[in-house]
Amino acid sequence: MPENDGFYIQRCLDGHPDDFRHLVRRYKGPVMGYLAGQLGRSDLAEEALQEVFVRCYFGLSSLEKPESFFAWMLGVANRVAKEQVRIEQKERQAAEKLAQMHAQTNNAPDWPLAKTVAKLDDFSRQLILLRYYGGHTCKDVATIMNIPIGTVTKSLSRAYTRLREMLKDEAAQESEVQS
Amino acid sequence: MNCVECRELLVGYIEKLLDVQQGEMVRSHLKDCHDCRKELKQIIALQNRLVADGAVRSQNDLENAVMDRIVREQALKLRKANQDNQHANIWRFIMRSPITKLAVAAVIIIAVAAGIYYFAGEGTQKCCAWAQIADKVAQIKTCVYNMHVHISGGTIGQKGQDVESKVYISSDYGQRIDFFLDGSIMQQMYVPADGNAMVMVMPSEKKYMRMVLTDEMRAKSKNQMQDPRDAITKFMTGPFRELGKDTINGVEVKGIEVNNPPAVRGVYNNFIGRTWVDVATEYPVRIEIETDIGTGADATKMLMVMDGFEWGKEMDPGVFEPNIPSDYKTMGEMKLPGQDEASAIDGLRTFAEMADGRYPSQMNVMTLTKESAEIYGKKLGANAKGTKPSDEQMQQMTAKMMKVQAPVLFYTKLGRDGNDPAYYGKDVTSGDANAVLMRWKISDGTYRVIYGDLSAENVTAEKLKEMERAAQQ
Repeated sequence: MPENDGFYIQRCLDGHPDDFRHLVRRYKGPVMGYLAGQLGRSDLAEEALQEVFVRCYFGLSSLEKPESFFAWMLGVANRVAKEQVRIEQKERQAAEKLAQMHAQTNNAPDWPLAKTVAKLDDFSRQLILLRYYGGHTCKDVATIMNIPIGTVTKSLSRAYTRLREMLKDEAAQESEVQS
Repeated sequence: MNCVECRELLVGYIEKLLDVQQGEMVRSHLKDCHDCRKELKQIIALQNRLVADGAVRSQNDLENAVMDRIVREQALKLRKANQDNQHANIWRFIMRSPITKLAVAAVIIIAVAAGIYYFAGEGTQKCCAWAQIADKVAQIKTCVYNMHVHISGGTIGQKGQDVESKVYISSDYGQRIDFFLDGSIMQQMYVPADGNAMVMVMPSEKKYMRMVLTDEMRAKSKNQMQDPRDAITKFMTGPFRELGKDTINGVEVKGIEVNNPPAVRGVYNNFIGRTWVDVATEYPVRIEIETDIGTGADATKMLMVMDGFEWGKEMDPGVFEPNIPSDYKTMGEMKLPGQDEASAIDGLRTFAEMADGRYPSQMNVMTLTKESAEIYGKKLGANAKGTKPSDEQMQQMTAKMMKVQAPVLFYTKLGRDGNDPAYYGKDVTSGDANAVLMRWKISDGTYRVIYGDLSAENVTAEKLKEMERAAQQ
């Protein structure tokens, strides 16, 4: 496991902006996953993702607990997503239809899944985002979130159950609408 | 192991986090339990879906895009911060040094005065009610008022700087202007009605200086400078529009507004002037001028408001006499630069000598002040770190600072008189003997040219065109 977030944050604050790259690399997947679920469109999510990282970079000096960087960043992402939603509400509706049409094809974004992840409680969402969208192992996730590994596996287990329930509900609603 | 225990360990089992014994127990339970096997399959299917979606979402070049944007935005922020700092530093430097303070005050006076001074007094429309008001106001012999000037942008920085003044005017005795900066008196300027010199006093420095007026200035001194009596007349040299009625401090007023009247071309850009007169007495209550000085990065915005008018106020002649305490030292006698070719060349030479052959980058008051302030800053910093310059040094510097204003005064006059002037100081240095530094039209088809080495000659319009085209390539 490379250096922790606090290390890179301090490096950035000490005038080494390029070290922010490590944090971008570490969190671009999780934040992208979150934004995609919130926004329902890849192009919007990518735009928002850039904005989130830029805002976080310039806001580093106001971050009180470097160990909570990821949670703080998701807060920023939430604000950016809300702004985007307001701006792009109409376009989004059209895009959702398009997204549904392409949802199950290979190599395409899994919109129902991303949206379901976005609806999870904060803690479960952070776990799922880090594990699957950030490509971190359970051990890394435990380190990043500063929790025991047992908590990670138990919580993941609960998150899977919740995700499956929600996906099932959504599918049921979908088929009702179609029939 | 029962189903509940098995399902608790399923994630650990999939992630290969269980110890050997636990792993064996889960495996053997799964072998016998159809429901738990189904559960395992469903979790793996969900995981696969998550892994696939995660992979799709990560397929992009966002890392570089984000870093590029951060670098770009940071560079912008830094540049802006540096500019603001630089502005703040220049202004601090100017205000700390008595020499530059004096020079800047002079520049502000010139800039402010030019706004009204350079209106040609001709072409007044005598036909309307406003012309009658103008005539009536011009007859008044005395006036006292407050003048607020806010300059910002360019050299001064976005925050800007306020200069407050109290102005006394009398047809018989002349003018006096007291300048205040940040609440304390910075300078007093006395312009006698019939004398040939004005006196500037700096109480904080216990110093004073006489400034000899040029013939041209003296000829116009009766009705120049900050004389609001002429404002309406002068505003009416171009088309104006009526602003209708309004109320200022409980007084019913009516106003007119002018936009870029022909007489300010070459002096100011985006000029808007407004005059409000009391409906009952028809005397001005408030005069407002908004304008830009200079263009581009050095453009400085000036807002000037004259109010608190006391028309026809009786004043003691003593108000207009500089009573200089005996312990004040003189800074000698300065000459206000003339508005002619020789003075302009002299000013350019003075600037180039101080600036290692460079010329002012633009021909406007603010750019010139900024650039000469920077040069002085460096020179003073090098010569006397933290120590006060001697009286002699101050005198020399002030004289130079006045001198270098000459080209801009001349250039402004050329613009005002429609002589089609152009200036290329940004690209030309004193080493460029054949490059056109400044030129203006002297008659149809003939231009006067000042070259980089400060020699001057008349050339035909065709030849000038050729030289300017060559310089652009």
